[in-house]
Amino acid sequence: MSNNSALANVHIEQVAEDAILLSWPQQISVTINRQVIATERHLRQALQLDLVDIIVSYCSLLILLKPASVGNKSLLKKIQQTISLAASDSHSKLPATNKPPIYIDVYYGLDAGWDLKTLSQRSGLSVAQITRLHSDRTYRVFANGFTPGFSYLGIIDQQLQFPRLDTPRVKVPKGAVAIAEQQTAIYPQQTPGGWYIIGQTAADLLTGDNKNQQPLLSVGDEVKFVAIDYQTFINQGGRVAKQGN
Amino acid sequence: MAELSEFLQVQHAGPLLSIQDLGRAQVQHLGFSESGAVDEHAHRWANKLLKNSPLAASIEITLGQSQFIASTDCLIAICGADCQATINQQPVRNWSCHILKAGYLLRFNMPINGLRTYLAIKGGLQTPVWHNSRATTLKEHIGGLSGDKLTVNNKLPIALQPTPLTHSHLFKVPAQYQPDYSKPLILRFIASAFYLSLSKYKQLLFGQTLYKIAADSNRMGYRLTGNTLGIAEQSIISTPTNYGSIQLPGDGQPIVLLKDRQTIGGYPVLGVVIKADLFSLSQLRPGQGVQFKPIDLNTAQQSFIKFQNFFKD
Repeated sequence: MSNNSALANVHIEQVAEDAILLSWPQQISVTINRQVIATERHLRQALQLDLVDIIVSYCSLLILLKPASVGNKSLLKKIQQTISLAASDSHSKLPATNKPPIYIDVYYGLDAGWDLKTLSQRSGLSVAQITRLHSDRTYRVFANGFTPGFSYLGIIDQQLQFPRLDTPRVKVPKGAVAIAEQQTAIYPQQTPGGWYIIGQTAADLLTGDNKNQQPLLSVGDEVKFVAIDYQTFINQGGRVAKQGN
Repeated sequence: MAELSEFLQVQHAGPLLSIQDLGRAQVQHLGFSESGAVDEHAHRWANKLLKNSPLAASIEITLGQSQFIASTDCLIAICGADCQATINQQPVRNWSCHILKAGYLLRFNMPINGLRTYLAIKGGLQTPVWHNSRATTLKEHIGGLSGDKLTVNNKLPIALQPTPLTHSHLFKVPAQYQPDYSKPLILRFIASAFYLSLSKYKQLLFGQTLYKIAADSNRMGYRLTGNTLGIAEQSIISTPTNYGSIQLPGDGQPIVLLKDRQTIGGYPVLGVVIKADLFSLSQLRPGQGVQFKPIDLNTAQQSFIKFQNFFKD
């Protein structure tokens, strides 16, 4: 892709006094997400001294500037150059291809997968087919957010794609493995949530000590779910959170 | 924690006491909320009066009704909502520094206007640092003393106090910098591409609508109720959020995101309210009214830069 077409692909918008939003075509796509991540990495280099943080999502990223860099007219040019540079890099497959997938064990039993029966009825697939379709694929971390340790993974098999629950649950248990639309995720802690629960994991989605917790998964990582039986789940320290509790 | 040095102790806790500073905006890419004082204007003034670092932590007191004592003579500053504070029953001024003697009772009543009061101490609170900040994020159970709001008998370590404490330490905020929180508030916002794509009629309607602050407003966001703009519900792909993003969910009732917001959100955004007005907004109570008005980017940035420079150390 030429530099100009890379730039034409990205909308640059100063959205707040100290924040610039870059938006790519609005779709969930590995190609676009790769460009977003490559751009983020290059921007962290190019704008080092100007940055508070860069927040990345599927097809957009937000640049948060230090107060001293607000209104600096030369930044726009730097950002444009960086987008072009990153576009050429993301096409030569620079980011995150050397890291092996991260395996996450999931217990897909009916007691843990609260919505498996409902999904089976709606999709016409058996429960075994659903869990196989879910664990067959390698997923990509498109974004981190919502709550600490929550990673948006995609893209799930088309046969598993359903809109979110009409009414979100007040409590989704920690470790719930869930799907909605094109995405799948693991709830790192008990929170409200509107996704379909298909299993549970004993894995911790936040690592590190109390003072420096980090999400287990980084944007661009590859993730694979591995089906395990009840006994293995228990041996790993898992405890099935039952529906209605 | 190491043996406690001198401390400030909570004698009585009102509805919401939390330790706040300027937050941890730099770890939003990990999914952590920015957090920090929702009214930076009052919080920063409290530190400035004490000649503290701008990074010093204070106590954010929501709706007053709290009491404290100190283990040693110390220098404090009180800014924000006027809780008609007293020290050993003697009234003390808002927007000012005071000497709090060891064992004397510092008491905050229900504020007569505004919502949040900041209690800062010379040298700042010395509670644990978590990702470079002492700010408490209740929904993530991080920061503060143990990730929770403060409760009675909590002891907060404080910095070594200057001796002797004299009246030369007692500064106060000039009257022109003391906001009147009961005045109607216009929220100036930087318009988004989505707002600019709306018809002139809808843009006008948005500016003319008087929105009321709903009861379930908090540090995450202020929910507003008012006439809807009649924009068909649209699902967008989740995008990073801003401090001050005006989200427009399907029901047409805007939400202005504040410091404890989630880092990524899936609703269309009409724009971002400028920070100066967010600080004022966070002092408003449910039932109070606000209106929106677009502001040009350059003016917004100039006022932001001025604010930042004013509070630099």
